[in-house]
Amino acid sequence: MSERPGPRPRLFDTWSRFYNLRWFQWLTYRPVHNAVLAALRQSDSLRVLDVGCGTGLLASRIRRELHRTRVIGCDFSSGMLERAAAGSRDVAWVRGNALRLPFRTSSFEAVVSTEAFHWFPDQAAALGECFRVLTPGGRFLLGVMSPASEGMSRALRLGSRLLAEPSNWPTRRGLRAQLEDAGFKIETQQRVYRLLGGLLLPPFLTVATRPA
Amino acid sequence: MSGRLDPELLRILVCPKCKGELNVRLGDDGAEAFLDCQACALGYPVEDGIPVMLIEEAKPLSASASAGGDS
Repeated sequence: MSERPGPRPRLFDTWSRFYNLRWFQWLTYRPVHNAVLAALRQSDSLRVLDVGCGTGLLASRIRRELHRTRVIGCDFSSGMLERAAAGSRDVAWVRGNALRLPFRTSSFEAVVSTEAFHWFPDQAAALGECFRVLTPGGRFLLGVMSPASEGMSRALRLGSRLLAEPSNWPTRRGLRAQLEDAGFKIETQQRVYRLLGGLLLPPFLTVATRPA
Repeated sequence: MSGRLDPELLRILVCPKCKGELNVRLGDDGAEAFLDCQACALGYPVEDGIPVMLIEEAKPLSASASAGGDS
């Protein structure tokens, strides 16, 4: 099986250094994390997996704010996870690849992933894995920026390939189609308001379930 | 720090390649050193209490077994 190797871990190891700065977080990830937490509170998810957890801010926050929840944070960058482990020992950290998750089938009531999906070199494989590790009826909470049109999505894909790491930000509709192809049932798709990239590439939180 | 992994985590971890069962191999310090997949003949190292479940970083089983475990 030939697989694209995916993004270079070193880029993420470097990035992890300024990732946790408070102002950076408020501009970027915090609003999306708030939306994920609000969605998680709507039902009892005892076991939660964060795929592409980065420095673990969201995973740690879920553990802190939803007391009964057991959280596993998974990322493939050792630099990100080093910081994650330094920040919280109450979350179980695992180095793993979203395309080949090292977890048993039907292990989690909820899988979350924020601002990581666009990096996955094979998004269908990643969605298949998220689907597989969810319990029937379990929910997938996916936070990712979505360009307004297919044209813009294509342009960003090309641009990212030329400039840095290849990324693929699907449109909202494209993402829904990808999720449905993986077997998910779409529940909601809501826009998350934030300053950075808010107009050109607004983040959306899509909630989908693995049908029971 | 003992470095012992959460039993709940160990219960749900599988080989990322074949999704098969893993065997724990302890190091000299009594903490998990490797999670071995016999079917794939790969040992996934546990570094600073974090299982490294990446196929490309796994060690071929014979080599890693002679390097450090007490299985």
